Amino acid sequence: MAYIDTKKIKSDFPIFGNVPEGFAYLDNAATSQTPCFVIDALTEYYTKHRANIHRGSYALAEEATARYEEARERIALFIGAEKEEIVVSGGATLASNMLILMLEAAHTYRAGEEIVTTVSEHHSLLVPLQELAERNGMVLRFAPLDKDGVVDEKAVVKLITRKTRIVAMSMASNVTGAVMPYERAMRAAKEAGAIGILDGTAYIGHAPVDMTTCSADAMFFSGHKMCGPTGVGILYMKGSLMKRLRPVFFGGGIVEEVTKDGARCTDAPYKFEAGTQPIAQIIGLGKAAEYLSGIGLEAISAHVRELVDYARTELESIPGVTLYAAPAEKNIGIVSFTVLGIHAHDIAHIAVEEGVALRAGHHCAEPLVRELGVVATVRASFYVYNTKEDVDALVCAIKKAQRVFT
Amino acid sequence: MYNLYHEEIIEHARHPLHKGVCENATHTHKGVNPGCGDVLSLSVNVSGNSIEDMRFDGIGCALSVAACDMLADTVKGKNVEDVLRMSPGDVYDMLGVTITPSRTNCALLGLRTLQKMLR
Repeated sequence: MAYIDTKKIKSDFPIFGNVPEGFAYLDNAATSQTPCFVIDALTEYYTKHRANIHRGSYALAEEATARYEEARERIALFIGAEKEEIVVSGGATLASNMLILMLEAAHTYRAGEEIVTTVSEHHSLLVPLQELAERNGMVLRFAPLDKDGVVDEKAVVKLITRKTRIVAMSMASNVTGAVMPYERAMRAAKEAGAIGILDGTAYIGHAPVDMTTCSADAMFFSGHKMCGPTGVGILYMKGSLMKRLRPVFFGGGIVEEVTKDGARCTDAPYKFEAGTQPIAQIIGLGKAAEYLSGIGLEAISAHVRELVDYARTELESIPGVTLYAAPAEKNIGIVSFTVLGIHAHDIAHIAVEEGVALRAGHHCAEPLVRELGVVATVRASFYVYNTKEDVDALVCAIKKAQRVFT
Repeated sequence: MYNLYHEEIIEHARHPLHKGVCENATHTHKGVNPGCGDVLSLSVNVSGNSIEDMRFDGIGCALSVAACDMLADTVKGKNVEDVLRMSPGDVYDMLGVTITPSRTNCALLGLRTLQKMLR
């Protein structure tokens, strides 16, 4: 059963008219492509409404502010949050670092206290946590993964104790695609009085989510992996956490009053958005959320899982291929693999000649790739416009690489 | 069609002549390609001011292994100063292929590690 009319969807993305026919873009976990619906919104802002937001009383400024705040509302709706819980940021990495710094500023962390995370984290979450632990003498505890690359639910819950101050993990792995039992972990964090943080970068825009019913205190994600522009990310925080935290970046736009002696910050979420924000990008991200909602997140998820299932079956039938990918029903849309005797970079390079865009390396999740027992994997990642023909092209590319190296 | 993977590169990658560790190595250094986690451990034997031998071990793509193996051929008998003066262009000429920006770190892993070690 076809969940999505990929021919129609593909026609929404002008890039596919500017690359050779049949080009298989399978690097969506690095960045997705952008539909006209989003590009038009960017152009419209730059050509009809460009002005800085807030403060300005002329028409352009009012229009820009209205569109900026509409986008915040749209994004809130998209993830099942209140608009006051949405902080605009320059990207997921910036949001992650900002959150960790704000938590550190607001709490007294003591030597020996613990941060529970997993071995499959992206460096954008793991490294800020490592730095936090280092500065405060805290201990990082890593939850193990099961054979499918999914965090062991019981093990992660067991790791969370009264010593735990933070539980931080991704909703899905950007290497194996494994969807994590994040709600169970976040609930355990809440019960233990720890702060629960989710990295939604690989997940948001690829499957439905409802933060209202999720126990996490905070979640961050980037715009460019869900059809939005680059240079924008979102930090979601529950209202209760927002109120407790103070900003760590200061400047214009976040203060009510500044004297020679100091400044008084405005209310959340605005107090976390110092300086001129990525206005066009957030408007574009709001449109991306609208576009994806129009297709339906359930349909997108089902479509991508169908491709994962097909890719797993096809790749498994090639001698010498080892898969590092969760089964389709537990996968967000990513299939990593290695080919016996051929380095990942060489596979990805030869695939270019075959019109297939892949990624090779550790995918900014080096501890996970080490845990898998390899130095690098090739990663194929699927999204709403991909087809089974793209998987077939991938299979051809792998076979070609095997011929070159035989 | 596979410009990058011409016969000589494939041969060096599959059957490197200089894989291993130098006996009586005077210098050793581990080179890492941060983009993909590749690691090549280099060892050289410098006598006086001349490189007598260079060997390498570790994991790398065909390009980094072939470039390292060819580099070992090239630097044998050369003065340290001459090796320190070698440029990325010398490695690309040695490989005989066009290196795109995404593969420069692979092609230059050996030379960069060697020069770091000799400085």
